[in-house]
Amino acid sequence: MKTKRPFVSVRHCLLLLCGVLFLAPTYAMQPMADEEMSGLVGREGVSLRLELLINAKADGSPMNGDVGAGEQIDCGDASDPCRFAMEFAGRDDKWIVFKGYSGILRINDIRLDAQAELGAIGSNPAYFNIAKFQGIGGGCLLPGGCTVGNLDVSPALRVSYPDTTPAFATGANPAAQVSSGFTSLEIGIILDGISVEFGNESVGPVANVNAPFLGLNVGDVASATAPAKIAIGGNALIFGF
Amino acid sequence: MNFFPYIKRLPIALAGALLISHGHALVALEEEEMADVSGAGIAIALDDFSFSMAPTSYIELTGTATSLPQWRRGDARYYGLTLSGGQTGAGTGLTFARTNACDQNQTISCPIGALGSKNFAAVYDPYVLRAFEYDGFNFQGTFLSGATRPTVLELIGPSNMDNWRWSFWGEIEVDRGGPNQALLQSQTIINGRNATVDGKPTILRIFRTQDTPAASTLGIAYQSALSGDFRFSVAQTAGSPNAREMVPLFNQNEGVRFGNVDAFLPIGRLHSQAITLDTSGPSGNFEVRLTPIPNIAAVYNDIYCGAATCGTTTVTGIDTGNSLQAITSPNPQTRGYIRWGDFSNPANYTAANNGIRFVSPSNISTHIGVARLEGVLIQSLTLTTLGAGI
Repeated sequence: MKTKRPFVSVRHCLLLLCGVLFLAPTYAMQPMADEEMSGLVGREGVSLRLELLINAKADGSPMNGDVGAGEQIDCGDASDPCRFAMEFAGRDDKWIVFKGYSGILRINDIRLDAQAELGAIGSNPAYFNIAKFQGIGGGCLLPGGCTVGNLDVSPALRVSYPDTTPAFATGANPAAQVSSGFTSLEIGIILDGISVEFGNESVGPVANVNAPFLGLNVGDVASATAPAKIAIGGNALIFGF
Repeated sequence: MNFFPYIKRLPIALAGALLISHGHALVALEEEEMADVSGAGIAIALDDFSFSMAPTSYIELTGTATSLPQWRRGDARYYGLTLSGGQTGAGTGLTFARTNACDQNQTISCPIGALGSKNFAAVYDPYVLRAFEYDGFNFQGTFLSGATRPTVLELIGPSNMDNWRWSFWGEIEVDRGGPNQALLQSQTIINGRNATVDGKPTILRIFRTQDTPAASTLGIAYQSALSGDFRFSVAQTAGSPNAREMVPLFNQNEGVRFGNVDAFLPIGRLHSQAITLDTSGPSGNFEVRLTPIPNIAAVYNDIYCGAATCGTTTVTGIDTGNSLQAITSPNPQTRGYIRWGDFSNPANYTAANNGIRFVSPSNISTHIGVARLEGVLIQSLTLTTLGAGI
């Protein structure tokens, strides 16, 4: 498996993000003086909304070849264009193929912000584990020293979601039940099944002959295409060393 | 495997960018501070964390129809997967329907903690994603050290954290759409943490197997660590819908319970045993294999005994008529165990909340006792799917 690809993607995404952060304030074409900037309010990081559709329509259902809607593929077609395959190093021409695959991912209002000092989080210092911050041979990798005091004044990237109040109201039937407040993440996945196909190293799995099995669905009982809804609370603090 | 130059400065750089461009904290990182970043790892701390899938949302594993008369299609749904705080006390628990606050001092009566887990992964013991190098024997028995050591990508969990509550409710359905369609709803609750009682963390490692160059492939090693209280129950209240896709209300007492569980299962060993994937036959099936321990003395002595000399000693049990040969100094890194109950003090073996017990809906408990498996080491394991082409 090629391990570089995801990291390149991460790099691109973050570069893009940095670009957006830096470029967005330039629309006015007028530099601001320091005094003006210090008077600004509401500069508390960014909030992002991300939607990813894979072989899916906006409502989460699989594409079905509706030419009028501009769909190029039909996941229900016998040729099964909605699939992806993985081949591992040392397993030449053997592909694990995920068949009949479509999905939707919505990350709603994720907040990126700075945590100026980790100490303000209020974690329990009794959990300090020095080995986490040591390199091969035991040397400390944290600039400033592997101590609770140094971590307390270190900065981090903070990722969080707006607080929500998850709630549930029952109903007369499955579709009438109401789950509310689960708005941080929406994930819908339809996977008819997995099977191995054999193919050419350079062009991928050339055949689609083996019956798929081990299917997976992620959804909600509200409807056949409703994505699963998730509420995430708290803060993720990300820092490097 | 020098992919970390890209990653090593990004979190700090991004944090710096946020600080500079939006500036509310007015603290920009100095160049020298950024230059100190070594690229050794990315740390992720989770504070006051909770993850709540809606009680109506599910992950479903679907089966396929079979022509074999003694088999029926099976489907499993897992609803409302939740990670939440493990606080105890009156009013700290919720049902899947987010109602009926209950007293979590009464063991694990409710599946969801009303609050998040404060120290899910403290900033002082975060999850760490890093590239690392370890000494170890390869499959051929060559000891790899120094520059010959392969690079391993690893995700290490906390060694110490607050307890958190992990739960879901499930539907197991048999013969969907057929004449024998049947349904069982259940709930599973764990109040504990993903580390052992003595602080061994959960670790996932990904690497290139150190075999002959032609056969090198993706290798995975996983150290599973879990401790806490477990409960599996099926009894519902009188007012529960007890119907397919309807969120049930479970009785707060009933179930099979395991108190003070402590489990440690190291699977794979750097660099001589790994989880690998391969195909199985031409029909579309595949296999997941924990490769056999190589039959080379240097390798299996390392796995069984570590750095210690691999000697054995005679051990006699309480029944003095029976004895066996045991390894004198087993390697603690590869020696797994599963303990259903706290074994630190024999006086606690019969304690009501320790070990295995069955509880009725009216809270009548039948205590089975404590049990444990020690010295668990998987020599070889292959899981082969048999779903395609039948």
